[in-house]
Amino acid sequence: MGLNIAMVCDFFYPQPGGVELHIYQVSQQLINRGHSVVIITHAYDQRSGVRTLSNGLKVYYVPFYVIYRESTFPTVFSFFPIFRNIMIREQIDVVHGHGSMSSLCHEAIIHGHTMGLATVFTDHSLFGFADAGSILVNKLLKFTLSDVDHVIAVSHTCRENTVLRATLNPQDVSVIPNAVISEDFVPDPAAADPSFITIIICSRLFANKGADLLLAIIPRICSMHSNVRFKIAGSGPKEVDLQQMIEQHRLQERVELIGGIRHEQVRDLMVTGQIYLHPTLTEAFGTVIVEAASCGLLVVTTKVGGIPEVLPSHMTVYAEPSVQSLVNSTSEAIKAVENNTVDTTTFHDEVRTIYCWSDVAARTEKIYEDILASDRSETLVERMQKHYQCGPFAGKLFVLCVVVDVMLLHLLEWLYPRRSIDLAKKWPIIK
Amino acid sequence: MPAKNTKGKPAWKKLLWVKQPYPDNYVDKSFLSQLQRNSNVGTYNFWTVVSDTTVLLGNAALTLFFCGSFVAIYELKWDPKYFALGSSLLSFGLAMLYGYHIQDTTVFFTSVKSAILILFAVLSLTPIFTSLTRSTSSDSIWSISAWLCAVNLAFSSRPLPESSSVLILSINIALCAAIVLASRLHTPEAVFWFMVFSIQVYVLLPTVARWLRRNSSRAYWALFSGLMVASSGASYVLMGWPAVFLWWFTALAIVIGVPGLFLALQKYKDQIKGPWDPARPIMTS
Repeated sequence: MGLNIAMVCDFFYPQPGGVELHIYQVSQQLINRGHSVVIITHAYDQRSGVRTLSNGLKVYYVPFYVIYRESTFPTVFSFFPIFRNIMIREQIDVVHGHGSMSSLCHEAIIHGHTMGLATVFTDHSLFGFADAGSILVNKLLKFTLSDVDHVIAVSHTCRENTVLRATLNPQDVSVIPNAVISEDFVPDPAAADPSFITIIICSRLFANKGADLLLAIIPRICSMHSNVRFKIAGSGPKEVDLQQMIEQHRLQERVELIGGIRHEQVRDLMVTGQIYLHPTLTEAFGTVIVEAASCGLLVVTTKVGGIPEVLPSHMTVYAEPSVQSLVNSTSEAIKAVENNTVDTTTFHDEVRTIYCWSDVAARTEKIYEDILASDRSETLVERMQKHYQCGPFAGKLFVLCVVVDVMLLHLLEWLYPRRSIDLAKKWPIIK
Repeated sequence: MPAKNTKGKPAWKKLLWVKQPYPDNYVDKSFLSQLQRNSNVGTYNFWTVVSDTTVLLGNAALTLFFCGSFVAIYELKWDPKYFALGSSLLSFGLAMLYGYHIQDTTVFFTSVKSAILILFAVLSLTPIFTSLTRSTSSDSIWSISAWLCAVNLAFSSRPLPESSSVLILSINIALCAAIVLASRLHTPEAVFWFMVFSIQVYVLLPTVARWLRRNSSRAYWALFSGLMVASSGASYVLMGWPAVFLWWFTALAIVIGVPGLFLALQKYKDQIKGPWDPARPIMTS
């Protein structure tokens, strides 16, 4: 018996990104396992309404006002009528929200819980505790996760972070890593120019991705190793600084700035190099280093966040987030490639067995089944008590929101009765 | 945990790339072991904090002395000329000390030159200052100057780098307070002398005190004691002995109470740090 699952997130195709890809891949794999999956996101420009992607993956683009970096304006209740309609139309059993920056996901979890559905949340990123933005997001997360049945984190470090941020029982948080489509990241030993050692960098050029470290280490590595060149893909606010660094040190011949590239072009870029450099300052999982290893590149990365958990030690050279340590580690990797002391040809097959989407989907499915099998009966008073404990001021506000939400549900039942909503015809399951 | 190991299960590792015979929501005893609490929180010595509090107290004393001086000039008709002369002597002494400290006579002469320039600027602006608030009632001026003094006290007592814009703002606010008060005086001479006095004492002395505190603790403590005596004198002139006792009591409460409260609150500090925090890049090599 297949489940009806709704994935809810502000971030989805046509926007590129890790979360978007994760949702798409998990949904496809769950469909392959005999479930029915719909994705609910906000409208992107003209893309509004219902679209169907391959394998009958239905996407609801709900028109909403976008405030910041594709996150919708948090209205708390305005999403409920259309959300309830979709839930009933698609006979949803499980609501699965993604990403703590997505207000659509938070709202879906609260309303889903009000409607008595199973709720799951996947956290894709790490947050600090000290700055004002994090405090706000963490408070909101605490509100939502009081209503969630189970949480998925993409790495053990991410899990510890989520447990602390939302004061959860660690038993209620599972670790399921991201994966890569290994067929899309096949190595091509002929593509790399043997007369050079090419170092690939593929990252958004932001300060938290280590762009400042990059600016400092490239000239030093270029002066130390005459046969090394760099290829840098990605765009961002630090692109101008990178351009200036290249001009200042006259490295136009040796450092190539490619600009933003699409995800399907990443593989073709990666196979032209031997080393992948990842000087980031924060990372929950780091899918890109798995992709690089799958393409047969030796990975030089900073040891931050969840990165030390991701790859076996023979595929990586770790560095501390300092200029000196990164220069040393990169030199070590360059020497290893020059002297052929590292065998990168086995990387692809190893990564393929470690990270595959069907495994991710199977583990996610188990979580859904465990929730549906467990006793989820909870009175409204118990739910309100949970919310009340969220804080001296926030607790009272959250309880108020819950009460309004329940009243809204009854109002909607009266205005748009359940029986007047047509059920959507399910896509035929092809075995 | 060891019980599980004896059953033949390998020990759990915090790794994603090994398939482990544990459920996805398994909680190991190493969970949150990398969590650090209050890792970069320093311990404070009571007397160090008391010494730091004297900056606040010194500025409060300075404000009291400045306001007292104005009341003496405005209400009791004391001659502002003597205030200006006294403050100029103090400035001259401090400039000598500064030149002696850095072993450079040119610095001394540059400061004398800029002092003369400021003096002439004030002189030429005196007619404007005199008539600046003619049409405004005194009550409004007392209110404005009280607020300016309070804001200046809040800004100038903070430990900030020398180039901080907050310090420049604080100097400007002090100057504003001096100008609005000076504009209440009746004769242009009185306005000029009061401006000379207040620029030296109220506007520039906090900067000098900050420099002294860094470079010569003996001179700082001498200045601080001087300020306490001067402010007590100002309290006496204002309202007699009860005011002096009230001021002493307040000063003692500030210098003992504020550090005590600060140290008592330290035990509530709960700062958490872990591998999920964005790393601080080390740029020096």
